[in-house]
Amino acid sequence: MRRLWLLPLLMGAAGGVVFYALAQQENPAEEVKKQKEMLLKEMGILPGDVYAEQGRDLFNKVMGTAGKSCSSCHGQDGRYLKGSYAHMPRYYKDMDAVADLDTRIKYCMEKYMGVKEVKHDTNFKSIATFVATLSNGMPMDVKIENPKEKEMYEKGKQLWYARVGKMDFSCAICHDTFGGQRIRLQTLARVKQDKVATHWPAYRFSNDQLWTMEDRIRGCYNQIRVTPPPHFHWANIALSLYMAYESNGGIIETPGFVR
Amino acid sequence: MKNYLVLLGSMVVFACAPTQQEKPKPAELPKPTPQAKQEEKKTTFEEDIKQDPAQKMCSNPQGTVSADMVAKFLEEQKKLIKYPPNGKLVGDWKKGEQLFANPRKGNCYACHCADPKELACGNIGPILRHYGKRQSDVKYTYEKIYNSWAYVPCSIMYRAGVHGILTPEEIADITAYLHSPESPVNK
Ligand code: HEC
Ligand code: HEC
Ligand code: HEC
Repeated sequence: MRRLWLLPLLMGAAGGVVFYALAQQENPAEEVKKQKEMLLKEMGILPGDVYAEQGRDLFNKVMGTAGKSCSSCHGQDGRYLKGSYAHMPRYYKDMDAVADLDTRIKYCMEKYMGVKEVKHDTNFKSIATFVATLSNGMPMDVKIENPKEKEMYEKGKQLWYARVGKMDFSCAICHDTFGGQRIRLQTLARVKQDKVATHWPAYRFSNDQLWTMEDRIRGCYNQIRVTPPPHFHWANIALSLYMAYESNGGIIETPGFVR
Repeated sequence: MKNYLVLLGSMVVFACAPTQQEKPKPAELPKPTPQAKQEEKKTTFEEDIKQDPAQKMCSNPQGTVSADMVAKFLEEQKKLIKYPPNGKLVGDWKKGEQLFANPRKGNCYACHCADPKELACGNIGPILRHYGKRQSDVKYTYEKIYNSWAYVPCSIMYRAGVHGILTPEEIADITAYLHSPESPVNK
Protein backbone atom coordinates (compact mmCIF):
# COMPACT_ATOMS: atom_id res chain seq x y z
CA MET A 1 0.00 0.00 0.00
CA ARG A 2 2.98 2.29 -0.10
CA ARG A 3 1.83 4.35 -3.05
CA LEU A 4 -1.72 4.95 -1.90
CA TRP A 5 -1.03 8.32 -0.39
CA LEU A 6 -0.39 9.67 -3.87
CA LEU A 7 -3.89 9.05 -5.04
CA PRO A 8 -6.10 11.71 -3.45
CA LEU A 9 -3.50 14.32 -4.14
CA LEU A 10 -3.29 13.37 -7.75
CA MET A 11 -7.03 13.11 -8.23
CA GLY A 12 -7.71 16.50 -6.71
CA ALA A 13 -5.21 18.21 -8.94
CA ALA A 14 -6.37 16.28 -11.96
CA GLY A 15 -9.95 17.43 -11.46
CA GLY A 16 -8.92 21.04 -11.80
CA VAL A 17 -6.85 20.43 -14.87
CA VAL A 18 -9.63 18.48 -16.51
CA PHE A 19 -12.14 21.22 -16.09
CA TYR A 20 -9.81 23.79 -17.50
CA ALA A 21 -8.90 21.75 -20.54
CA LEU A 22 -12.49 20.75 -21.30
CA ALA A 23 -13.46 24.35 -21.46
CA GLN A 24 -10.66 25.09 -23.88
CA GLN A 25 -11.02 22.22 -26.31
CA GLU A 26 -13.75 21.19 -28.67
CA ASN A 27 -12.17 18.58 -30.93
CA PRO A 28 -12.49 15.29 -28.96
CA ALA A 29 -9.29 13.61 -30.20
CA GLU A 30 -7.30 16.76 -29.55
CA GLU A 31 -8.93 17.08 -26.18
CA VAL A 32 -7.80 13.61 -25.09
CA LYS A 33 -4.26 14.29 -26.27
CA LYS A 34 -4.11 17.63 -24.49
CA GLN A 35 -5.45 16.15 -21.27
CA LYS A 36 -2.88 13.44 -21.32
CA GLU A 37 0.00 15.79 -21.99
CA MET A 38 -1.16 18.14 -19.29
CA LEU A 39 -1.49 15.45 -16.66
CA LEU A 40 1.88 13.98 -17.57
CA LYS A 41 3.50 17.37 -17.36
CA GLU A 42 1.97 18.24 -14.01
CA MET A 43 2.08 14.83 -12.31
CA GLY A 44 4.71 12.87 -14.20
CA ILE A 45 2.31 9.89 -14.24
CA LEU A 46 -1.23 9.21 -15.47
CA PRO A 47 -3.92 8.39 -12.89
CA GLY A 48 -4.63 5.05 -14.60
CA ASP A 49 -1.04 3.99 -14.06
CA VAL A 50 -1.29 4.92 -10.39
CA TYR A 51 -4.31 2.64 -10.07
CA ALA A 52 -2.45 -0.16 -11.83
CA GLU A 53 0.44 0.21 -9.36
CA GLN A 54 -2.03 0.08 -6.51
CA GLY A 55 -3.43 -3.08 -8.13
CA ARG A 56 0.02 -4.64 -8.13
CA ASP A 57 0.36 -4.04 -4.39
CA LEU A 58 -3.04 -5.59 -3.72
CA PHE A 59 -2.21 -8.52 -5.98
CA ASN A 60 0.73 -9.44 -3.77
CA LYS A 61 -1.20 -8.93 -0.53
CA VAL A 62 -2.99 -11.61 1.51
CA MET A 63 -6.79 -11.26 1.38
CA GLY A 64 -9.66 -13.38 2.66
CA THR A 65 -9.80 -16.31 5.09
CA ALA A 66 -7.58 -18.78 3.19
CA GLY A 67 -4.44 -16.77 3.92
CA LYS A 68 -3.55 -16.45 0.25
CA SER A 69 -2.67 -13.64 -2.09
CA CYS A 70 -3.16 -13.70 -5.85
CA SER A 71 0.57 -14.17 -6.12
CA SER A 72 0.38 -17.41 -4.10
CA CYS A 73 -0.97 -19.08 -7.25
CA HIS A 74 -0.13 -16.70 -10.07
CA GLY A 75 3.43 -15.77 -9.10
CA GLN A 76 5.00 -12.64 -7.64
CA ASP A 77 3.67 -9.61 -9.58
CA GLY A 78 1.53 -12.01 -11.61
CA ARG A 79 4.43 -13.64 -13.43
CA TYR A 80 2.24 -16.49 -14.71
CA LEU A 81 -0.57 -14.24 -15.88
CA LYS A 82 1.48 -12.59 -18.63
CA GLY A 83 -0.59 -12.63 -21.81
CA SER A 84 -3.73 -14.00 -20.11
CA TYR A 85 -5.83 -10.92 -20.80
CA ALA A 86 -5.16 -11.24 -24.56
CA HIS A 87 -7.33 -14.39 -24.56
CA MET A 88 -10.14 -13.12 -22.36
CA PRO A 89 -13.06 -13.56 -22.01
CA ARG A 90 -12.76 -17.35 -22.35
CA TYR A 91 -14.03 -20.66 -21.03
CA TYR A 92 -12.58 -21.90 -17.70
CA LYS A 93 -12.75 -25.53 -16.74
CA ASP A 94 -12.79 -24.92 -12.99
CA MET A 95 -15.80 -22.61 -13.36
CA ASP A 96 -17.36 -24.57 -16.20
CA ALA A 97 -18.29 -21.18 -17.62
CA VAL A 98 -17.08 -18.34 -19.80
CA ALA A 99 -15.73 -15.46 -17.72
CA ASP A 100 -14.55 -11.93 -18.44
CA LEU A 101 -11.69 -10.37 -16.48
CA ASP A 102 -13.95 -9.14 -13.69
CA THR A 103 -15.86 -12.39 -13.23
CA ARG A 104 -12.66 -14.48 -13.33
CA ILE A 105 -11.08 -12.43 -10.56
CA LYS A 106 -14.24 -12.53 -8.46
CA TYR A 107 -14.29 -16.31 -8.76
CA CYS A 108 -10.65 -16.63 -7.64
CA MET A 109 -11.30 -14.35 -4.68
CA GLU A 110 -14.40 -16.21 -3.52
CA LYS A 111 -13.43 -19.78 -4.35
CA TYR A 112 -9.70 -19.83 -3.67
CA MET A 113 -9.09 -17.01 -1.21
CA GLY A 114 -12.20 -17.02 0.96
CA VAL A 115 -13.14 -13.41 0.30
CA LYS A 116 -16.80 -12.87 1.17
CA GLU A 117 -19.06 -10.61 -0.90
CA VAL A 118 -16.62 -9.33 -3.48
CA LYS A 119 -17.34 -5.69 -4.27
CA HIS A 120 -16.69 -4.08 -7.65
CA ASP A 121 -14.93 -1.14 -6.01
CA THR A 122 -11.78 0.82 -6.78
CA ASN A 123 -9.50 -1.78 -5.20
CA PHE A 124 -11.13 -4.52 -7.26
CA LYS A 125 -10.86 -2.49 -10.45
CA SER A 126 -7.22 -1.67 -9.69
CA ILE A 127 -6.39 -5.38 -9.46
CA ALA A 128 -8.22 -6.02 -12.75
CA THR A 129 -6.33 -3.17 -14.37
CA PHE A 130 -3.01 -4.49 -13.12
CA VAL A 131 -3.78 -7.95 -14.54
CA ALA A 132 -4.65 -6.39 -17.91
CA THR A 133 -1.36 -4.47 -18.03
CA LEU A 134 0.47 -7.83 -17.90
CA SER A 135 -0.62 -8.29 -21.54
CA ASN A 136 0.44 -4.84 -22.77
CA GLY A 137 2.18 -4.88 -26.12
CA MET A 138 0.59 -8.20 -27.15
CA PRO A 139 -2.07 -8.55 -29.83
CA MET A 140 -5.62 -9.32 -28.73
CA ASP A 141 -6.18 -12.98 -29.59
CA VAL A 142 -9.56 -14.22 -28.39
CA LYS A 143 -10.65 -17.61 -29.68
CA ILE A 144 -14.17 -18.95 -29.99
CA GLU A 145 -13.73 -22.73 -29.80
CA ASN A 146 -15.53 -24.22 -26.83
CA PRO A 147 -19.34 -24.62 -27.31
CA LYS A 148 -19.92 -22.34 -24.31
CA GLU A 149 -17.74 -19.69 -25.92
CA LYS A 150 -19.72 -19.98 -29.14
CA GLU A 151 -22.98 -19.65 -27.25
CA MET A 152 -21.74 -16.63 -25.30
CA TYR A 153 -20.42 -14.95 -28.44
CA GLU A 154 -23.80 -15.39 -30.16
CA LYS A 155 -25.56 -13.88 -27.15
CA GLY A 156 -23.18 -10.93 -27.26
CA LYS A 157 -23.79 -10.41 -30.94
CA GLN A 158 -27.53 -10.52 -30.36
CA LEU A 159 -27.32 -7.91 -27.61
CA TRP A 160 -25.08 -5.76 -29.81
CA TYR A 161 -27.74 -5.49 -32.51
CA ALA A 162 -30.84 -5.50 -30.27
CA ARG A 163 -32.95 -2.33 -30.47
CA VAL A 164 -34.24 -1.96 -26.93
CA GLY A 165 -35.87 0.29 -24.41
CA LYS A 166 -37.71 3.57 -24.55
CA MET A 167 -35.11 5.07 -26.83
CA ASP A 168 -35.05 2.25 -29.39
CA PHE A 169 -31.24 2.20 -29.41
CA SER A 170 -28.81 -0.66 -29.94
CA CYS A 171 -25.05 -0.69 -29.40
CA ALA A 172 -24.66 -1.13 -33.14
CA ILE A 173 -26.63 1.90 -34.21
CA CYS A 174 -24.41 4.23 -32.21
CA HIS A 175 -21.11 2.41 -32.59
CA ASP A 176 -21.36 0.94 -36.14
CA THR A 177 -23.95 2.87 -38.14
CA PHE A 178 -23.23 6.31 -36.72
CA GLY A 179 -19.70 5.65 -35.41
CA GLY A 180 -17.51 8.71 -35.89
CA GLN A 181 -20.45 11.14 -35.74
CA ARG A 182 -21.47 13.32 -32.81
CA ILE A 183 -24.16 12.94 -30.18
CA ARG A 184 -24.24 16.42 -28.73
CA LEU A 185 -20.50 17.07 -28.70
CA GLN A 186 -19.34 13.53 -28.01
CA THR A 187 -17.92 11.54 -30.86
CA LEU A 188 -19.30 8.02 -31.06
CA ALA A 189 -16.47 5.49 -30.99
CA ARG A 190 -16.34 2.99 -33.84
CA VAL A 191 -16.04 0.20 -31.37
CA LYS A 192 -14.97 -2.53 -33.79
CA GLN A 193 -12.73 -0.65 -36.24
CA ASP A 194 -11.02 1.07 -33.34
CA LYS A 195 -10.49 -2.29 -31.56
CA VAL A 196 -11.53 -0.66 -28.32
CA ALA A 197 -11.23 -3.74 -26.12
CA THR A 198 -7.46 -3.18 -26.28
CA HIS A 199 -7.62 -0.06 -24.09
CA TRP A 200 -9.95 -1.20 -21.32
CA PRO A 201 -9.85 -1.01 -18.30
CA ALA A 202 -9.41 2.71 -18.73
CA TYR A 203 -9.16 5.92 -16.75
CA ARG A 204 -11.95 8.34 -17.68
CA PHE A 205 -10.88 11.91 -17.13
CA SER A 206 -14.43 13.28 -17.60
CA ASN A 207 -15.55 11.75 -14.30
CA ASP A 208 -12.11 10.99 -12.84
CA GLN A 209 -12.77 7.26 -12.46
CA LEU A 210 -11.20 3.96 -13.31
CA TRP A 211 -13.63 1.82 -15.33
CA THR A 212 -13.48 -1.79 -16.48
CA MET A 213 -15.30 -2.88 -19.63
CA GLU A 214 -18.22 -3.94 -17.44
CA ASP A 215 -18.52 -0.37 -16.16
CA ARG A 216 -18.39 0.96 -19.74
CA ILE A 217 -21.16 -1.37 -20.91
CA ARG A 218 -23.30 -0.50 -17.91
CA GLY A 219 -22.65 3.19 -18.55
CA CYS A 220 -23.93 2.90 -22.10
CA TYR A 221 -27.09 1.07 -21.00
CA ASN A 222 -27.64 3.82 -18.45
CA GLN A 223 -27.33 6.48 -21.12
CA ILE A 224 -30.08 4.87 -23.17
CA ARG A 225 -32.34 4.49 -20.12
CA VAL A 226 -32.12 0.72 -19.90
CA THR A 227 -31.47 -0.59 -16.38
CA PRO A 228 -27.89 -1.88 -16.66
CA PRO A 229 -27.17 -5.54 -15.98
CA PRO A 230 -25.57 -5.95 -12.52
CA HIS A 231 -21.82 -6.54 -12.37
CA PHE A 232 -20.76 -10.09 -13.30
CA HIS A 233 -24.07 -10.61 -15.17
CA TRP A 234 -23.86 -12.79 -18.32
CA ALA A 235 -24.77 -9.79 -20.50
CA ASN A 236 -21.54 -8.01 -19.54
CA ILE A 237 -19.55 -11.16 -20.31
CA ALA A 238 -21.35 -11.72 -23.63
CA LEU A 239 -20.83 -8.16 -24.87
CA SER A 240 -17.22 -8.11 -23.64
CA LEU A 241 -16.53 -11.34 -25.52
CA TYR A 242 -18.17 -10.00 -28.66
CA MET A 243 -16.17 -6.76 -28.58
CA ALA A 244 -12.90 -8.47 -27.60
CA TYR A 245 -13.23 -10.91 -30.51
CA GLU A 246 -13.90 -8.00 -32.84
CA SER A 247 -10.75 -6.36 -31.43
CA ASN A 248 -8.50 -9.30 -32.33
CA GLY A 249 -5.17 -8.22 -33.78
CA GLY A 250 -5.20 -4.89 -31.96
CA ILE A 251 -2.26 -4.28 -29.62
CA ILE A 252 -3.20 -4.18 -25.96
CA GLU A 253 -2.38 -0.93 -24.22
CA THR A 254 -3.96 -0.62 -20.79
CA PRO A 255 -5.01 1.27 -18.80
CA GLY A 256 -6.64 3.34 -21.54
CA PHE A 257 -7.07 7.07 -21.21
CA VAL A 258 -10.51 8.15 -22.39
CA ARG A 259 -13.04 10.89 -22.03
CA MET B 1 -18.09 31.93 -21.86
CA LYS B 2 -19.17 30.32 -25.09
CA ASN B 3 -16.93 27.34 -24.48
CA TYR B 4 -18.18 27.01 -20.97
CA LEU B 5 -21.76 26.64 -22.18
CA VAL B 6 -20.72 24.06 -24.71
CA LEU B 7 -19.07 22.13 -21.95
CA LEU B 8 -22.23 22.06 -19.88
CA GLY B 9 -24.25 20.94 -22.85
CA SER B 10 -21.92 18.13 -23.64
CA MET B 11 -22.08 16.73 -20.16
CA VAL B 12 -25.78 16.05 -20.14
CA VAL B 13 -25.90 13.85 -23.27
CA PHE B 14 -28.77 11.61 -22.34
CA ALA B 15 -28.16 11.97 -18.68
CA CYS B 16 -30.30 13.23 -15.95
CA ALA B 17 -29.80 16.95 -15.50
CA PRO B 18 -33.09 18.67 -16.28
CA THR B 19 -32.68 22.03 -18.01
CA GLN B 20 -35.57 23.73 -16.29
CA GLN B 21 -34.57 25.81 -13.36
CA GLU B 22 -35.08 24.08 -10.07
CA LYS B 23 -37.82 25.52 -7.98
CA PRO B 24 -37.00 26.23 -4.36
CA LYS B 25 -37.97 23.19 -2.31
CA PRO B 26 -40.89 23.49 0.11
CA ALA B 27 -39.81 23.12 3.73
CA GLU B 28 -41.50 19.75 4.15
CA LEU B 29 -41.93 17.45 1.19
CA PRO B 30 -45.09 15.35 1.21
CA LYS B 31 -44.28 11.70 1.85
CA PRO B 32 -44.77 9.57 -1.25
CA THR B 33 -47.82 7.31 -1.03
CA PRO B 34 -47.18 3.56 -1.10
CA GLN B 35 -48.59 3.54 -4.62
CA ALA B 36 -46.17 6.23 -5.82
CA LYS B 37 -43.36 4.18 -4.34
CA GLN B 38 -44.56 1.18 -6.30
CA GLU B 39 -44.36 3.18 -9.53
CA GLU B 40 -40.82 4.27 -8.75
CA LYS B 41 -39.79 0.63 -8.49
CA LYS B 42 -36.88 0.00 -10.80
CA THR B 43 -37.28 -2.38 -13.66
CA THR B 44 -34.66 -5.05 -14.21
CA PHE B 45 -32.30 -5.42 -17.16
CA GLU B 46 -34.24 -8.46 -18.33
CA GLU B 47 -37.53 -6.51 -18.33
CA ASP B 48 -35.96 -3.54 -20.09
CA ILE B 49 -34.50 -5.54 -22.97
CA LYS B 50 -37.81 -7.16 -23.91
CA GLN B 51 -38.54 -6.05 -27.46
CA ASP B 52 -41.72 -5.12 -29.29
CA PRO B 53 -42.21 -6.69 -32.76
CA ALA B 54 -40.81 -3.65 -34.58
CA GLN B 55 -37.68 -3.51 -32.42
CA LYS B 56 -37.15 -7.20 -33.18
CA MET B 57 -37.42 -6.60 -36.91
CA CYS B 58 -34.81 -3.83 -36.72
CA SER B 59 -32.28 -5.87 -34.71
CA ASN B 60 -29.92 -7.03 -37.43
CA PRO B 61 -26.55 -6.01 -38.90
CA GLN B 62 -28.28 -4.30 -41.85
CA GLY B 63 -30.08 -2.08 -39.34
CA THR B 64 -33.30 -2.09 -41.34
CA VAL B 65 -36.10 -4.32 -42.65
CA SER B 66 -35.99 -6.12 -45.98
CA ALA B 67 -37.37 -4.21 -48.98
CA ASP B 68 -40.50 -6.35 -49.26
CA MET B 69 -41.40 -5.66 -45.60
CA VAL B 70 -41.09 -1.88 -45.70
CA ALA B 71 -44.67 -1.02 -46.72
CA LYS B 72 -46.15 -3.29 -44.05
CA PHE B 73 -43.75 -2.01 -41.42
CA LEU B 74 -44.62 1.64 -42.10
CA GLU B 75 -48.32 0.85 -42.05
CA GLU B 76 -48.07 -0.88 -38.66
CA GLN B 77 -46.12 2.05 -37.24
CA LYS B 78 -48.66 4.59 -38.59
CA LYS B 79 -51.34 2.78 -36.60
CA LEU B 80 -49.53 3.54 -33.35
CA ILE B 81 -49.80 7.31 -33.78
CA LYS B 82 -52.30 9.11 -31.53
CA TYR B 83 -53.39 12.73 -31.89
CA PRO B 84 -54.28 15.38 -29.28
CA PRO B 85 -57.98 15.15 -28.26
CA ASN B 86 -58.58 18.73 -29.42
CA GLY B 87 -57.22 17.84 -32.86
CA LYS B 88 -54.67 20.67 -32.80
CA LEU B 89 -51.34 19.50 -34.23
CA VAL B 90 -49.72 22.89 -33.73
CA GLY B 91 -49.40 24.04 -30.11
CA ASP B 92 -47.38 26.64 -28.25
CA TRP B 93 -43.92 27.16 -29.77
CA LYS B 94 -42.48 28.61 -26.59
CA LYS B 95 -43.29 25.44 -24.66
CA GLY B 96 -41.98 23.51 -27.63
CA GLU B 97 -38.66 25.31 -27.38
CA GLN B 98 -38.19 24.03 -23.80
CA LEU B 99 -39.27 20.50 -24.66
CA PHE B 100 -36.99 20.37 -27.68
CA ALA B 101 -33.94 21.17 -25.54
CA ASN B 102 -34.81 19.26 -22.34
CA PRO B 103 -32.60 16.13 -22.11
CA ARG B 104 -35.34 14.25 -20.24
CA LYS B 105 -37.95 15.18 -22.83
CA GLY B 106 -37.25 15.78 -26.51
CA ASN B 107 -33.47 15.85 -26.20
CA CYS B 108 -33.54 16.77 -29.87
CA TYR B 109 -30.22 18.68 -29.73
CA ALA B 110 -28.47 15.36 -29.14
CA CYS B 111 -28.79 14.78 -32.89
CA HIS B 112 -30.09 17.98 -34.51
CA CYS B 113 -28.89 21.56 -34.70
CA ALA B 114 -31.75 24.06 -34.87
CA ASP B 115 -31.54 27.36 -32.96
CA PRO B 116 -28.16 28.83 -33.95
CA LYS B 117 -27.65 29.96 -30.33
CA GLU B 118 -27.39 26.32 -29.21
CA LEU B 119 -23.89 25.16 -30.05
CA ALA B 120 -23.91 21.82 -28.26
CA CYS B 121 -25.79 20.00 -30.97
CA GLY B 122 -25.10 16.65 -32.60
CA ASN B 123 -24.76 15.97 -36.33
CA ILE B 124 -26.51 12.61 -36.60
CA GLY B 125 -29.81 14.04 -37.84
CA PRO B 126 -30.35 16.73 -40.49
CA ILE B 127 -29.97 20.38 -39.43
CA LEU B 128 -33.42 21.73 -38.62
CA ARG B 129 -32.54 25.42 -39.00
CA HIS B 130 -35.18 27.16 -41.21
CA TYR B 131 -37.19 23.93 -41.15
CA GLY B 132 -40.50 25.83 -41.34
CA LYS B 133 -39.42 27.59 -44.50
CA ARG B 134 -38.89 24.40 -46.45
CA GLN B 135 -41.54 22.18 -44.91
CA SER B 136 -45.21 23.21 -44.69
CA ASP B 137 -46.78 19.85 -43.85
CA VAL B 138 -47.40 20.05 -40.09
CA LYS B 139 -49.09 16.64 -40.04
CA TYR B 140 -45.89 15.07 -41.34
CA THR B 141 -43.82 16.84 -38.67
CA TYR B 142 -46.20 15.80 -35.89
CA GLU B 143 -46.23 12.18 -37.02
CA LYS B 144 -42.48 12.06 -37.57
CA ILE B 145 -41.85 13.18 -33.98
CA TYR B 146 -44.56 10.91 -32.57
CA ASN B 147 -43.30 7.88 -34.43
CA SER B 148 -40.17 8.37 -36.46
CA TRP B 149 -40.39 4.75 -37.69
CA ALA B 150 -43.68 5.47 -39.51
CA TYR B 151 -41.53 7.23 -42.13
CA VAL B 152 -38.07 5.67 -41.87
CA PRO B 153 -37.99 2.04 -40.66
CA CYS B 154 -35.51 1.51 -37.80
CA SER B 155 -34.28 5.13 -37.82
CA ILE B 156 -31.92 6.02 -34.97
CA MET B 157 -34.49 8.70 -34.04
CA TYR B 158 -36.53 7.20 -31.24
CA ARG B 159 -40.32 6.98 -31.24
CA ALA B 160 -40.94 9.63 -28.59
CA GLY B 161 -44.74 9.42 -28.72
CA VAL B 162 -44.95 5.65 -28.92
CA HIS B 163 -42.85 5.29 -25.76
CA GLY B 164 -44.65 8.08 -23.92
CA ILE B 165 -41.53 10.23 -23.58
CA LEU B 166 -43.64 13.05 -25.09
CA THR B 167 -47.44 13.41 -24.88
CA PRO B 168 -49.48 14.33 -27.99
CA GLU B 169 -49.83 17.90 -26.65
CA GLU B 170 -46.09 18.18 -26.12
CA ILE B 171 -45.44 16.95 -29.64
CA ALA B 172 -47.84 19.59 -30.96
CA ASP B 173 -45.81 22.20 -29.04
CA ILE B 174 -42.57 21.00 -30.64
CA THR B 175 -44.27 20.97 -34.05
CA ALA B 176 -45.13 24.64 -33.45
CA TYR B 177 -41.53 25.35 -32.48
CA LEU B 178 -40.34 23.89 -35.79
CA HIS B 179 -42.96 25.63 -37.97
CA SER B 180 -43.77 29.00 -36.36
CA PRO B 181 -42.27 32.01 -38.18
CA GLU B 182 -41.66 33.56 -34.70
CA SER B 183 -39.58 30.61 -33.54
CA PRO B 184 -35.77 31.09 -33.41
CA VAL B 185 -35.54 28.04 -35.66
CA ASN B 186 -36.99 30.06 -38.54
CA LYS B 187 -35.71 33.53 -37.72
C1 HEC C 1 -5.54 -20.82 -4.89
C2 HEC C 1 -5.05 -20.45 -6.17
C3 HEC C 1 -5.56 -19.14 -6.78
C4 HEC C 1 -5.56 -17.89 -6.22
C5 HEC C 1 -5.18 -17.48 -4.82
C6 HEC C 1 -6.01 -17.01 -7.26
N1 HEC C 1 -6.27 -17.69 -8.40
FE1 HEC C 1 -6.64 -16.92 -10.19
N2 HEC C 1 -6.79 -18.75 -11.00
C7 HEC C 1 -6.65 -19.92 -10.31
C8 HEC C 1 -6.99 -21.02 -11.17
C9 HEC C 1 -7.02 -22.51 -10.79
C10 HEC C 1 -7.32 -20.49 -12.42
C11 HEC C 1 -7.79 -21.22 -13.67
C12 HEC C 1 -6.61 -21.43 -14.56
C13 HEC C 1 -7.03 -22.01 -15.88
O1 HEC C 1 -8.06 -22.64 -16.01
O2 HEC C 1 -6.25 -21.78 -16.81
C14 HEC C 1 -7.17 -19.04 -12.28
C15 HEC C 1 -7.32 -18.15 -13.32
C16 HEC C 1 -7.11 -16.79 -13.21
C17 HEC C 1 -7.09 -15.88 -14.33
C18 HEC C 1 -7.26 -16.24 -15.80
C19 HEC C 1 -5.92 -16.72 -16.31
C20 HEC C 1 -5.94 -17.10 -17.77
O3 HEC C 1 -4.91 -17.59 -18.24
O4 HEC C 1 -6.94 -16.89 -18.46
C21 HEC C 1 -6.88 -14.64 -13.81
C22 HEC C 1 -6.80 -13.33 -14.60
C23 HEC C 1 -6.77 -14.78 -12.38
N3 HEC C 1 -6.90 -16.10 -12.06
C24 HEC C 1 -6.58 -13.71 -11.51
C25 HEC C 1 -6.48 -13.87 -10.14
C26 HEC C 1 -6.39 -12.76 -9.23
C27 HEC C 1 -6.39 -11.29 -9.63
C28 HEC C 1 -6.31 -13.29 -7.98
C29 HEC C 1 -6.28 -12.54 -6.68
C30 HEC C 1 -7.43 -11.67 -6.43
C31 HEC C 1 -6.31 -14.74 -8.13
N4 HEC C 1 -6.45 -15.05 -9.43
C32 HEC C 1 -6.16 -15.65 -7.08
C33 HEC C 1 -6.21 -20.04 -9.01
C34 HEC C 1 -6.02 -19.01 -8.13
C1 HEC D 1 -26.84 6.65 -27.82
C2 HEC D 1 -25.62 6.16 -28.34
C3 HEC D 1 -24.94 4.98 -27.65
C4 HEC D 1 -25.41 3.71 -27.52
C5 HEC D 1 -26.76 3.18 -27.92
C6 HEC D 1 -24.34 2.94 -26.92
N1 HEC D 1 -23.26 3.74 -26.68
FE1 HEC D 1 -21.41 3.10 -26.12
N2 HEC D 1 -20.77 5.02 -26.12
C7 HEC D 1 -21.53 6.13 -26.45
C8 HEC D 1 -20.76 7.33 -26.22
C9 HEC D 1 -21.24 8.76 -26.43
C10 HEC D 1 -19.47 6.89 -25.80
C11 HEC D 1 -18.28 7.76 -25.45
C12 HEC D 1 -18.40 8.15 -24.06
C13 HEC D 1 -17.43 9.17 -23.64
O1 HEC D 1 -16.77 9.75 -24.51
O2 HEC D 1 -17.37 9.38 -22.44
C14 HEC D 1 -19.52 5.44 -25.75
C15 HEC D 1 -18.43 4.64 -25.42
C16 HEC D 1 -18.43 3.25 -25.52
C17 HEC D 1 -17.26 2.42 -25.39
C18 HEC D 1 -15.84 2.91 -25.21
C19 HEC D 1 -15.30 3.44 -26.48
C20 HEC D 1 -13.86 3.82 -26.39
O3 HEC D 1 -13.45 4.74 -27.08
O4 HEC D 1 -13.13 3.21 -25.62
C21 HEC D 1 -17.67 1.12 -25.50
C22 HEC D 1 -16.80 -0.10 -25.43
C23 HEC D 1 -19.12 1.15 -25.67
N3 HEC D 1 -19.54 2.46 -25.70
C24 HEC D 1 -19.91 0.03 -25.74
C25 HEC D 1 -21.29 0.08 -25.92
C26 HEC D 1 -22.14 -1.09 -25.84
C27 HEC D 1 -21.69 -2.50 -25.57
C28 HEC D 1 -23.41 -0.66 -26.08
C29 HEC D 1 -24.70 -1.46 -26.08
C30 HEC D 1 -25.08 -1.97 -24.81
C31 HEC D 1 -23.34 0.79 -26.30
N4 HEC D 1 -22.04 1.19 -26.17
C32 HEC D 1 -24.42 1.59 -26.63
C33 HEC D 1 -22.80 6.12 -26.96
C34 HEC D 1 -23.59 5.00 -27.09
C1 HEC E 1 -30.62 9.85 -31.89
C2 HEC E 1 -30.67 10.87 -32.86
C3 HEC E 1 -31.96 11.68 -33.04
C4 HEC E 1 -32.70 12.27 -32.06
C5 HEC E 1 -32.47 12.24 -30.56
C6 HEC E 1 -33.74 13.00 -32.74
N1 HEC E 1 -33.63 12.84 -34.09
FE1 HEC E 1 -34.83 13.67 -35.52
N2 HEC E 1 -33.83 12.67 -36.96
C7 HEC E 1 -32.70 11.90 -36.76
C8 HEC E 1 -32.26 11.36 -38.04
C9 HEC E 1 -31.05 10.47 -38.27
C10 HEC E 1 -33.16 11.84 -39.02
C11 HEC E 1 -33.14 11.53 -40.53
C12 HEC E 1 -33.61 10.12 -40.78
C13 HEC E 1 -35.04 9.97 -40.42
O1 HEC E 1 -35.87 10.67 -40.99
O2 HEC E 1 -35.34 9.17 -39.53
C14 HEC E 1 -34.14 12.65 -38.30
C15 HEC E 1 -35.20 13.31 -38.90
C16 HEC E 1 -36.00 14.25 -38.28
C17 HEC E 1 -37.01 15.04 -38.93
C18 HEC E 1 -37.37 15.01 -40.40
C19 HEC E 1 -36.52 16.00 -41.11
C20 HEC E 1 -36.96 16.21 -42.54
O3 HEC E 1 -36.37 17.08 -43.17
O4 HEC E 1 -37.87 15.51 -43.00
C21 HEC E 1 -37.58 15.84 -37.98
C22 HEC E 1 -38.67 16.87 -38.17
C23 HEC E 1 -36.93 15.53 -36.72
N3 HEC E 1 -35.98 14.55 -36.96
C24 HEC E 1 -37.24 16.12 -35.52
C25 HEC E 1 -36.74 15.68 -34.29
C26 HEC E 1 -37.22 16.17 -33.01
C27 HEC E 1 -38.28 17.23 -32.84
C28 HEC E 1 -36.53 15.48 -32.07
C29 HEC E 1 -36.69 15.57 -30.56
C30 HEC E 1 -38.00 15.15 -30.09
C31 HEC E 1 -35.61 14.60 -32.74
N4 HEC E 1 -35.78 14.75 -34.08
C32 HEC E 1 -34.70 13.76 -32.09
C33 HEC E 1 -32.08 11.65 -35.56
C34 HEC E 1 -32.55 12.05 -34.32
